[in-house]
Amino acid sequence: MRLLRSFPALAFALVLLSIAGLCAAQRSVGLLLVAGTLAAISWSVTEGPRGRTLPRWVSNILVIGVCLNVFRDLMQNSADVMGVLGRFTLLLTLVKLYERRHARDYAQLLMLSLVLMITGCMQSSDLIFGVVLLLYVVLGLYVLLLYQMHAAYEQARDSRNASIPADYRLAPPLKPIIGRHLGLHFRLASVAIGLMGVLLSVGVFVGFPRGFGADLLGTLNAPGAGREAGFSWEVNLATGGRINASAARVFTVQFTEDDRPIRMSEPVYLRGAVLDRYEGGGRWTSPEARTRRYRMTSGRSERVTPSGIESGRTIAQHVTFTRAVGGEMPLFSIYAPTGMAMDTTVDVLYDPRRQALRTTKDTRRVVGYTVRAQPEPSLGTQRAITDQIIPAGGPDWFVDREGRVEGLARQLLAEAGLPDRTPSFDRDDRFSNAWDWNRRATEVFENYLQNSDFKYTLDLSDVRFGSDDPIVNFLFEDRRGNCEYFASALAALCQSVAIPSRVVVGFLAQQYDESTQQYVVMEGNAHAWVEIAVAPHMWKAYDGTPAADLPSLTEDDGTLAQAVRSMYSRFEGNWSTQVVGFDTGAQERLIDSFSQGWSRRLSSLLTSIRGGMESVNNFFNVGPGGYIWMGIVALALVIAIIALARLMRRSMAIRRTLHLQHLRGSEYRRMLAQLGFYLDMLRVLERGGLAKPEWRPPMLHAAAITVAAPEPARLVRDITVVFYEARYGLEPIEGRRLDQARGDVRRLADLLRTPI
Amino acid sequence: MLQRLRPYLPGLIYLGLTILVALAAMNNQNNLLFWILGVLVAAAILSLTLATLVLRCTQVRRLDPHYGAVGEPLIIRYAVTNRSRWMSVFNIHVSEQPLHEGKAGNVANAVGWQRLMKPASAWVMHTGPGEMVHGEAMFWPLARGEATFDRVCIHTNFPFGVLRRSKVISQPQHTLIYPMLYELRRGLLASIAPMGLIGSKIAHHAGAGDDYFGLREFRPGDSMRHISWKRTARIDQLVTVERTSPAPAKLRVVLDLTVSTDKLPGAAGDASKARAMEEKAISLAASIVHAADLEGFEVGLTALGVHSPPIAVRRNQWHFHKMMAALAQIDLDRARQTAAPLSVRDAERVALVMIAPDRIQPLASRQNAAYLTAAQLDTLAVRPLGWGEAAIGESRLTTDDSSRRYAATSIGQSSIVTRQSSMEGAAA
Repeated sequence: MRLLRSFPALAFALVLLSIAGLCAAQRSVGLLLVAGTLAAISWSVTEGPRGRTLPRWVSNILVIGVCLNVFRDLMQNSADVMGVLGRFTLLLTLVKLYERRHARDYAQLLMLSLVLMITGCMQSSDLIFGVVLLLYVVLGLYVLLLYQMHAAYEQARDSRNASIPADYRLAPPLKPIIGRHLGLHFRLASVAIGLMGVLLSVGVFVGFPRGFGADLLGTLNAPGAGREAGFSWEVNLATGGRINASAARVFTVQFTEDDRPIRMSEPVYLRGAVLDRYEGGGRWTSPEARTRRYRMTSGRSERVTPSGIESGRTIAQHVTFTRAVGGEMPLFSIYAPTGMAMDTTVDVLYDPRRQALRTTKDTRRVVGYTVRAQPEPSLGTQRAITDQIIPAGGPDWFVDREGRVEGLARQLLAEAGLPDRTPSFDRDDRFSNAWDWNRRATEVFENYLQNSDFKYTLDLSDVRFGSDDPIVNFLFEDRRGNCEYFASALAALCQSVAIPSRVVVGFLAQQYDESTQQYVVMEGNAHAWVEIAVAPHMWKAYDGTPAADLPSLTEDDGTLAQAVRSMYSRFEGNWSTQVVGFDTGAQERLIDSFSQGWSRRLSSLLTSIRGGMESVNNFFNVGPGGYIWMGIVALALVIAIIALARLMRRSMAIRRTLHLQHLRGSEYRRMLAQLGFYLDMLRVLERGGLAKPEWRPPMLHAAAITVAAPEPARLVRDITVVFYEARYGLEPIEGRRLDQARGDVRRLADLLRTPI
Repeated sequence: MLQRLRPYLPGLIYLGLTILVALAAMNNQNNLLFWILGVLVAAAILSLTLATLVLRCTQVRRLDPHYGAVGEPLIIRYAVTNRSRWMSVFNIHVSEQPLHEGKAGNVANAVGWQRLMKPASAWVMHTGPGEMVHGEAMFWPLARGEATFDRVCIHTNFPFGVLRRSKVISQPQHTLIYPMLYELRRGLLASIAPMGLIGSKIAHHAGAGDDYFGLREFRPGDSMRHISWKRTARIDQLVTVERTSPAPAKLRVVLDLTVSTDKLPGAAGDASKARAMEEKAISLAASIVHAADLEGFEVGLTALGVHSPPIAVRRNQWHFHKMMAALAQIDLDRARQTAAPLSVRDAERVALVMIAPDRIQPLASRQNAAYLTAAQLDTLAVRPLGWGEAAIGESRLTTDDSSRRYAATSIGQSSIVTRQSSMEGAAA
């Protein structure tokens, strides 16, 4: 039985796949090498004619050892519960692979492999793991189908062997009973079931409400598990973990000046959220502030600054999202925004303290917008877009309790030859004013961060902060981190020497598409930088991240490697956006697009029907009554179609029940016309609880039910006599006899109280 | 036909796992877990739907097993038909439902099959669209009698084993379970019915025997060896010698069950022991009938004390089954009849062996009858028919047609233990 013989190998492959999946989720090459090797060699050890398996007592001891190891692992990694569970399950699986395998053992192995994949899901959302998961599901469905056959075969064989007395030694081995083309039918069934399963699973995935039950049982994910690069309303350095640089496209932005597209000379910092409060513990937030509300309508533009203000060079930024967005979201723009226009009716809030635009929480769908900005605003514009002079300090600033950051800042300034505090500008002519000193000092700090041994990385899964502030830890201990760390460190250095600064998060637009004259912005282009005050009402951007490490896609050099990288990035982006990032908003957008699409189609269909009816009515020139006639005709047509369908269905039932397949022509038509009463009799008997088995002749059935129902049995006999005459008689049966038989069927239905 | 959905342990485990995954997915809002949850839910839905469809388009009919015997496997075949024209059917289990005694077709005192044999089921791995296959269930009868089957249950857990759906079909049927047959020691029949004047006869008609019967005219086709040359020379006409037709030995087995079970003296009041003695007597009688039939005897059967008419001395396959059926249907719980001695015909020129469960009651009119008791079965029997030698690995009893040894049958996949096959020595 080739099909059954393939089950052990496929089950083994499935378990190996799950082990590989878990190791990929935990990103542990060492674990993959060790566990994978042990798992792989278990096949050669246990299978085959010389296969040896672990005795039960040995495997029990190993399982106890694994359980004890769980406690040790949990104590060492108390924050990574899922990782501990995954390793525990992995060890159990390895022990199980070396045991003798019966049907129940295979069931346990399959269950363990499923648990491995589930724990992997809770630790990773990489594309590679996603591919492994998809392969696992496809193979798992097939293996599960095979398992049913294997288990049933074992059960049948064991029960047969158990029933035979010990001294009876002539029982043959059990051979499975199969029909023709087993392999083909099984493969077809597997494909059909797999397709239906995938469709249903996608339906559940899309339709299951998100947000319901969140954090019901607390946080079970590994720290930093599944984080994706992208915009966020705050910066939290304490989460650690690993960020996946996603290539999912977020939006495109076209810069125009005087209605002509332009390309910026440098990477463009598109501001999203301005975080000017340091909460401590590496967390920067943007507290509520007074805002101005603008009610925008489609195509109508608004100004942030009053009219008549002297304006400088103005650049318009036309942003188009790849997918419509909703809810509270920033209007990404360069500094300093002076006006906006939206493609739909929304409320826009302008925060003058931070010079930031955003939509409100109840925003439904925004596909694009335009923001006008002045890269070098005039003094009047500066004053108009802010609500106050930039303060020199405040309770929201970074507090360096140990003074290490301030010490470092002063040391850097001293090395750069700059005074370590804001000078008295009357005395020192090196600086035009205090704002100028701000700029120079910030450049020193920026240069320090960019050119020292600080390392840019997205993987901080092994960083332990201890009691230190993450910024202090970054500057003095780890010296590695992502853009948020560099921006936080720069802001902390500036604030330690009383330079007004704030962290800004948004996107860095670098990739320019010549064909469309637009910048393409992806999730991986999310970035954090710092703005410092360079005038009483003006801020300037500084970026502590080393330029070489800025998240970007290199220019396409046309090589195969680049093409593969681009394709992989695109897949990964789509995976992150459409699968991992599928949320309530995405559901609502999907429903909206679906409903809008269907309502459009429905309305166009109704319109075309109406038009057709009008043209028909005009052709016949009947007037308003023509519509009534058309309705009657349509109704009659529907009734005719239903009647025809029922007639065809009845004919098929008669043909199938009475085995008329070999008849043709007039003989077939005569049988169809005359033998319907017999089919009615069978249906009445079935509904009345006296169903005739297919293998039993009707006369015999009448005899069989005589005791239980004598009167119906008599009617069945009479009807059967007429049936035999009609079916097998040489002469056509009289109409009177047929009517009599039909009457008997009605009487039978009355007796059994069933409808015909 | 009633479809049922019953609680099923793997299904409960699956349900628990699905709930856990759902909780984890909702708690973490992890989309990969949501997808796995979707797969689990899809598998449950498909299991329910497909299992229902499979049962709807599957028909099962029990094929008449004719008869079985204690100590030998009873193979019951089921014709499993897939009525669907596009869907294949996998993993069908067919089993017999225990009979609610007294309700099967209103047959009085119907004995459910479950009282005579252990349950067994047939398994069909695959049936293609529009195909019919035969599944087999191997029952092991433990007691003789008339087994009544009533309902057949088919169930499946295809495709994923999450749910088990079953359907019950009514198909009343009866089958007889013959008593256990033993291979008897050599020479037993010869000692009971020696092939002498009593055991063998010469038929009073012409045949192919050796003894002289008469002379007749030569007919075209007669062998030249059968011409009586002396007579031919005397009357100058070809004359053929006719020989007699040998008659096979005749044996009548008399089973004396006139003493009721509770009055058997040898049981000392132990009802189960007494019943066992009676069953052994019946088995011994059946074994002797079987052995005599194999040896070519004409055999008759008389059961005294029970409601079973005497069976004439004959020899053919149908006659053998008639005797076996009579032995199988002996109801030891009914009141015994007082048998008249003349129920055994004195004028019948047959060898007679009388078997009693406990004490022998000799027949005054037949001085040369053989008398056996149930206790002698242990010494007269070698082994149950068809059983291999104990503690011998994979030995098989081979068949020997010419010597007419008792052949143990090897049970192939599609074989039934048949009397005919054992007589011919063929293993199916």
